[in-house]
Amino acid sequence: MDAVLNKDVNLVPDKFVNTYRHWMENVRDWNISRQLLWGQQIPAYYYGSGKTDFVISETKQEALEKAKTQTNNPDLTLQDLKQDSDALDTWFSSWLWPMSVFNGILEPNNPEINYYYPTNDLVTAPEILFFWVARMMIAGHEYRGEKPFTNVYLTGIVRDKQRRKMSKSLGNSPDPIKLIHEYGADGVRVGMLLSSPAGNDLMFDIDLCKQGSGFINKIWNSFKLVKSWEVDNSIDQPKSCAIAIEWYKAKFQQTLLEIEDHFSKYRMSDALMSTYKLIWDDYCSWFLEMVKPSFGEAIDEKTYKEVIAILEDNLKILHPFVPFISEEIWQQLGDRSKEEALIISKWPEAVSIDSTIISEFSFASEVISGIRNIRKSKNISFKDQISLQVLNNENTSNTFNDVIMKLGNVSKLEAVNHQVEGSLSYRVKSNEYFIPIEGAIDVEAEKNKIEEELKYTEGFLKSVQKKLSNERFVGNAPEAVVAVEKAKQADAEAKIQMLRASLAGLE
Amino acid sequence: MSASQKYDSQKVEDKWYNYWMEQGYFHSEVDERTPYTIVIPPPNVTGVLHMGHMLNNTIQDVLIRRARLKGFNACWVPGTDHASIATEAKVVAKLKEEGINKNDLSREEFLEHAWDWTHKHGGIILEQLKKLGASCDWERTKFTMDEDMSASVIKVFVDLYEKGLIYRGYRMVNWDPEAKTTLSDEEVIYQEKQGNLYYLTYKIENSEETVTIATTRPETILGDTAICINPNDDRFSHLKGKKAIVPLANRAIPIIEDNYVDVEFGTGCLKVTPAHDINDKEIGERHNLEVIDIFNDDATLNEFGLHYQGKDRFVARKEIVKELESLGILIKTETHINKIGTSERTGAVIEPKLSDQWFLKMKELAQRLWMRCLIKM
Repeated sequence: MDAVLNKDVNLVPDKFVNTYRHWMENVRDWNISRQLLWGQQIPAYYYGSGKTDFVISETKQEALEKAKTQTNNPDLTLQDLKQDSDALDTWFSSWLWPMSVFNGILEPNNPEINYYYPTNDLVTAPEILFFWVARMMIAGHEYRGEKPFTNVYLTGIVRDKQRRKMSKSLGNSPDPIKLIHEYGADGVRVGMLLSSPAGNDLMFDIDLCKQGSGFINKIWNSFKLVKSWEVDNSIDQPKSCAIAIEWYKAKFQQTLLEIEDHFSKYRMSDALMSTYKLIWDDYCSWFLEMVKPSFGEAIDEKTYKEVIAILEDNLKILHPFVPFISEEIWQQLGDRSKEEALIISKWPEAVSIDSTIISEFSFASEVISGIRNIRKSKNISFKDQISLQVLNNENTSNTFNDVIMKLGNVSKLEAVNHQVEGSLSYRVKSNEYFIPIEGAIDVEAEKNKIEEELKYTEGFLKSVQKKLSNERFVGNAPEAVVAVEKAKQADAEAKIQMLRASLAGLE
Repeated sequence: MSASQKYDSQKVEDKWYNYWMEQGYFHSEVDERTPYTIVIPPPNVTGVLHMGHMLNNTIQDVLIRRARLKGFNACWVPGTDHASIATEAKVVAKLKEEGINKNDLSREEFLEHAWDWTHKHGGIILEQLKKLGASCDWERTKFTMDEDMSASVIKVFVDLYEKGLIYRGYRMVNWDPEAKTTLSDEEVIYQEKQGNLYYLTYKIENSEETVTIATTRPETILGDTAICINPNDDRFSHLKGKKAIVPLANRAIPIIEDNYVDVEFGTGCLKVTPAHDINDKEIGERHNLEVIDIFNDDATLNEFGLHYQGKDRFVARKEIVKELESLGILIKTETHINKIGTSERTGAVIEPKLSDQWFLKMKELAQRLWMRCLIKM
């Protein structure tokens, strides 16, 4: 039974398989008549008052012929037939939907039904698993000998922040059209998908739409940046740009694999998240910074063309999530014929990549972050060039040296084989990096700052020592209080030592 | 829109949706490519877009757009559902506002109003889906009551009847007194609600003796047609073959024996009301009991309700409890948790009702599905 079930239909997530099977095994007769007028009227025609005095037929005319035979009364007329007044349950029409939309019931061999059926994916809510999904399965097998769809993706229920189901009466359901006006359709689509794992409920919060439209603005602003660049075909491509392009292409391929994997498992939120991070972090925050020409300068033509090609690939994977902005940018990138619209372009192809460059960049990005941290803590303006020395214990390649120099505004990057005295330093793994202070900071100001601190700390140490040399205090105070004073003394001594070393480095 | 401007989503979205539509990118025809098909879960034809639709259709559009980019012949079929109960209720309410009673209209007249309503409000939701960017093949838009769609339904009904899978039967069904229609088992939602268990005494015919039963629905005593005891319960064996008198109605009803009775529940004696309880109906069939239906279609009491005729079932319950109490027939009331069935559509408490209805043998159909799958494997 399980094997049959698994082979027949793929429920996503599979936690619904058991409820589905339970229903299939325990299903009872389905009452399909409704005392309503709006629907298909039951094609039962009564010719008498007895409970079994009826015939079933597609038309009244056919019914008359059947009734005549059944009653052996050739004199029956259409006036003698009274059609059942009930209508059929709406689900008795919905259960045929995947077949009837292709006219597969009336003309079971028409080319459309043979081509489009079985359908691929059904996306629906778990509440109608029995009302609809299971019944479509049954009808599909009965009339096509085949399941109506290969995969059933069961979405969660949209709830509010307090986990209440959204409803008109609670007034907790935002008007979707207003949301679209405010945040854009693309923004709302991203917002809806940001937190919707299959089968789990979506806790909707307006902030999700804000985040969605924030993403759209990020995409737009990054496009504006690229468009603002002046292109010069007389400039040679800098090495940093060549490396940046090679790296981003590899990163893109790596992410593409991830996205394909998420899609194959119907992890829509994860597929979006991978795309989101690729665009926001890797493309906007790193890649564009790496290739960006310096202020007032132009970009070389080779790099620019590559950037546009990369942007085009980005737009292709963005398109399913944010169809509008992706098409807008795509069409602004060139004169596109109607055959060249993004909506019908070609999904990027997967190619094998060397992941070395990705791990190399990952290391380099930490080196850059280290420089940025020091600039921040020491108030070194980004405009001021620094030099960087590395004790390369990790034996890292120098592939990204040009990128590090560009993004760190480093004038000189060189390897050393011993620690550099009198410099600011940080580590990435076991590599040590040194930024010589000279030129980087205002030595006099720094010296004054340290001397002042030294003076204060020495005064503090004296007062603690005074206390500890007082025998009455040490003899009478609780042990814990004395311990605290001793710790203060040790801390102050350590700090003084450090400050003196820093001062010596500045001399 | 120039790249130097602030992004104007509304302008951009209208522009490209129109362009996509004009160029026919959403439309699919049979060709040599591999198809990728999605059929939309058809929303209610007169409904408006809610957040559930937004999530559901965003996902479908992501899937279909990706399939299109991957070179499949992508086809997303949109459409709407006639939503029998919901739409009919809306039309009835609208007619009522205009002072028109549904029952005063012929079938044709009512259907005309319903079609008018459908044409007026129908399709709004599909227009809203376009705002979301849904790339449906709008040339294929279907409605479950399109002529060919209805013809398909009727053809299937006839076919299943001829296969012996559809039958007409007199059975206990779920009655929605608000929508005034039967519902399938799937359309009934069970909820636990606090109610009372009422202990009532019935006189034994031609004797001073009484018997006490416990019931959650005292108003249904007017439909009682037997008292039932367990044949193995010595406490009541002396009542065998005697008759009890239904309070208020003063009808004599037989005391019967059936193993169905749980000696532990209530007093161990059961009132049997075959018209209003599925289990009582089964006992009734085993013992050839009379069936007395005390309700009208709107769950008010009918002529069997005596002086409660015309009153709603819940009003009648309260009043009957008072009367029984004043007569000394109600001797005890306990609180009790009931599982109450309610209508998925209207929320009304479902009334079990015996009625002639059409049924489809789902078990047989499900088995045929398993068999087909097994053969294929």
